[in-house]
Amino acid sequence: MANRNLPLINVIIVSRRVLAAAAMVSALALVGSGCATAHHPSFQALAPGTLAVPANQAWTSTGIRLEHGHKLLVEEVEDAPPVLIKDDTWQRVGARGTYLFDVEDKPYPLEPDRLHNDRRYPGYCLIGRIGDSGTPFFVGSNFQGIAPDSGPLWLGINDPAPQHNTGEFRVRIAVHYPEPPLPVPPKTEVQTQAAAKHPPDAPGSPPPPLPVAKPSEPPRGVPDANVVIIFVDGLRPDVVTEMAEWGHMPYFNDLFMENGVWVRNSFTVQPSLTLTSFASMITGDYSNRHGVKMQAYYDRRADEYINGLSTRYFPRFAAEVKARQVNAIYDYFPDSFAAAAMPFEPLRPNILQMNLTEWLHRAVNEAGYVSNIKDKMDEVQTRFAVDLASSPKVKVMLVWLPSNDVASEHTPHGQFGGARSTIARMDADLGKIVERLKNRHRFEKTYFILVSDHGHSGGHEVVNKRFDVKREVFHAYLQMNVMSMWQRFNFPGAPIGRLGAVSDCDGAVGIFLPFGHVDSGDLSTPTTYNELSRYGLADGSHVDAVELFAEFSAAGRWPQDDLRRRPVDFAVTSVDPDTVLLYQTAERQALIHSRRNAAGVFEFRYEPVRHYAGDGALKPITTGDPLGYLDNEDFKKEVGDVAWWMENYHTGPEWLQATVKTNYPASVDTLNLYFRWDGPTNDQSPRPPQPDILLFANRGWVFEPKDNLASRSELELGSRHGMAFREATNNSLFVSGPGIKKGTVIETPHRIVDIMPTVLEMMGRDTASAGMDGHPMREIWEEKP
Amino acid sequence: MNLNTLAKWCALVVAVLLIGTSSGCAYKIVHTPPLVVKSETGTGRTVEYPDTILVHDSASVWDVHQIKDNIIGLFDGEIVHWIDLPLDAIIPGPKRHPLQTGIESVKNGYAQLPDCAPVRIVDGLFSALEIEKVTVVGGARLVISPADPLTYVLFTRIIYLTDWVQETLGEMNSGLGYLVPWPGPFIPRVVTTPVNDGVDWAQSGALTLYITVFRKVSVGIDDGLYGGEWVWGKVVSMFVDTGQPVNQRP
Repeated sequence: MANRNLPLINVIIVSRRVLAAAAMVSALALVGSGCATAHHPSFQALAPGTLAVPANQAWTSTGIRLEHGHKLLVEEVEDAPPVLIKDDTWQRVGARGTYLFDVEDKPYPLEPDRLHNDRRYPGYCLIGRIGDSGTPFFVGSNFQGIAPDSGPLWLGINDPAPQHNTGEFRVRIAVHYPEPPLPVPPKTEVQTQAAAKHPPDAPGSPPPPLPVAKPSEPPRGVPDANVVIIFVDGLRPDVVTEMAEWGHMPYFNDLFMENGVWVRNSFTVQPSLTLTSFASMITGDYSNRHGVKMQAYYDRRADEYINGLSTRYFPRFAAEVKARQVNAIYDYFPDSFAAAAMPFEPLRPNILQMNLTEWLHRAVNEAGYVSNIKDKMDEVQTRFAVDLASSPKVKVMLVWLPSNDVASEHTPHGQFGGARSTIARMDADLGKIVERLKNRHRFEKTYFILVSDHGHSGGHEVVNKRFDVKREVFHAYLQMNVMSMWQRFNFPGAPIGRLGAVSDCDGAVGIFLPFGHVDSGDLSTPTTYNELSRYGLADGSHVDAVELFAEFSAAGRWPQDDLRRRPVDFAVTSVDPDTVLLYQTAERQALIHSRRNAAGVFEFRYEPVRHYAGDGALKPITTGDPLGYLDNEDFKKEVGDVAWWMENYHTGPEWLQATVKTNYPASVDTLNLYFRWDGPTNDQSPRPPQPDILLFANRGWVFEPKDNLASRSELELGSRHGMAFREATNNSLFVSGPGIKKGTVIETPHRIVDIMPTVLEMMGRDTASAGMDGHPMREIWEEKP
Repeated sequence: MNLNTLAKWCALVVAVLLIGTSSGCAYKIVHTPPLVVKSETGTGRTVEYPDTILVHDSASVWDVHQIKDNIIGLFDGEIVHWIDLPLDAIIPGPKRHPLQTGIESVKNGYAQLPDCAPVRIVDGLFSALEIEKVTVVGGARLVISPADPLTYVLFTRIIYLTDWVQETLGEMNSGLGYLVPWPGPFIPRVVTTPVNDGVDWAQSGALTLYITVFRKVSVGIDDGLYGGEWVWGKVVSMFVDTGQPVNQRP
């Protein structure tokens, strides 16, 4: 604890047991701060400087009066006895509370407008308020802040019915202390390097921050190393680190925050969907090579709608990647890789006893019955992972924990609400795997990578709304029937053969249109912008289909003056094999060109324009581009001469570095690569089907149908991913293990494709010969002496 | 059973299922709200939708696909699991799976023994036999006919035991290598490697085939059930007025 010696003593001790001590303690408080006022009669001295907050009453006066702007520090004392919620021995909490509760159905004081299972803050934690009717705020086990108001300070418990609780929280309080001992954040990479070269006791002033230095020599993992990849679907890095800071992720905190690195600027590919991201994670390649473009699509060749999220198709994507001659993690380690169920995977076992039949057996017995498996996936996966961790044959293992994504998608506040209990349970699951590895004496040689495939958008400041692209555009303007993940949705009266398709899910949706005309019936040929801009309707008229999908709903064109309210962020479509068009409005467009440089590396040029007509006459713009780079100060600072930057081609890593602080990091290259195909094209490996238009949702919106026509059950809409902006693309990436830096934040930007080459390096393999798009993360390793 | 009797039974089943309508057990009618489309000039037109009959319910435990999966899953229920279930109900606090936890403790304890060939061989044998994974169905067969060798035959167990035999022979070959003057194992690797590779290929292939067939059968049954749901939806639509689609071109 950092604050043992608090300055004179704004400290009061409250208890319900001995009234007589109250006056003495109040007097101490008055003497100490000059501003404390005794309001509550039930004070008792426990230990010098300690205040007790009974858990069986909603609020307890501290006797301290705060003035607006006062610094306030509330700390739980060490070794405080636990509070028993409802006097239940099994529900013990400290001031930090718990996310694992399911007791109450009344409003909790901290978030009275929410359902009890959709909470950002833990239940039964210590809370505070200023004044008799002040707004409650979260205190937890350690609060440090500024008083937002003036009045007496009250402390209480985040419990709608505390009467039957037993025990008390014990805290120290300090107000207006001279130097707030702020918690020390993890060291950044630059700080770590600076400290190494200039020890704190070295003479002279502190050196300026050093530029990021990369080790010239590839690091080698320890001999006989293991790699454990914990793949937590959709985990937001800001959420998991906040929960760790509040004390709810002890295993995660120990393994990664204190003894590992956080690669803070890690981004996934576009669109930020699970299967696309997962394919890039396990191959180290972008979708122009592995070909997994969407999680659901219309197979143009086979005339079949493929839903990659259904169990029917889960081996299909692995087979397609194989046919495209791209190696995945299970190919790099054919005799030592094992995994629990993955988003897609081949049916063959790499290690005999670690196969899908054994997984199913474990799953049934962990979940109780098959129907329950989908609700208990994290427990099931962890149980199988414990088996994997026990086997010395398993050197590289991947454990997919999908429950966070499911919980986020179906609780309105997502990871700023109901999904937090799932994340807290994930920490316990992580602990089980770690404990088993320790028990089997494998921990010391194991590298841990905790990664998510994408972030999540919604739930924090806004609760997402649905935009049904089938009704609002297909039906309203094209009068077409539509195939989708949610079954066929017919336009009443339309001919049966007038069919389009959408890969509707989450924050990115692919639009598949018949070539040239709504009644052409030809879905086999992808359409480029030239045809889409003069798309034929049944009545003989033509529309700009890209404009229609980007700017219209059934209520007409969305207002131009406030782009934040529109459901569609922007649309992307192919212009030619090397060029895509980003379309936000007629005035806000951009072309992204790609080419290979002399070394065969892709380079990209971002060219903001308006009123693109495909006729070669371009109208450049210098403000208001779809990705907002031209108006972003961080981007300008990073690239220096914006005009020069825009006129030239740059590689993917250069674009990533240039855009890392913008709202759309890592977008230029991956948006272009999405519409490219650079793999083999033959009968065994056809060109992967891709949509004619790719739509990205705006903040606060999700492409979901108004009515679920696939199942009688309709779950609530929560936060989602797939969008192009930062919240959806910034994925969690934490690493620990032998030779990995400790307690360090890596600021160097990375992508999800960098994971696979890093795994190869950890296992002592040569990454260069693998020929992946990704690059190994060298900054994570400790400097060699 | 003659045709009349069959028709009566079918009508009875249909009637019972239709009665389920009121409770929402057998199907659900989705009333899709009309779509109002506004033109640039502000005038509007309305698209009316017929109702949709939904039979499939992926989230319900009573969905036919779920019932199918749960029946298949019954064959995987371990004796250990079914013993733990009541124990967890009796013991206060969070679920602890006492028997499974005990077995895991024994395994963890065994793992603390020095890493040597005999320890690995015994571990491999128990791992291949999968004693703790014996199912209720397997246990019942064992009680009914303990003398029947077929009681102990399980496809995966055969493969795992073959693997164990391979590994044990490998350990023995390595051990005997210390007794002979030439370096390396007793039988040189140049001889054993192709044999091992061949056996590995056969094991992996057999297991892959097993999993593939299992999955194909499961998907095939699902397809049949989807067909049944489609037929049932058609039957329901004969009794429910969903409204008629009309040509609503502007």
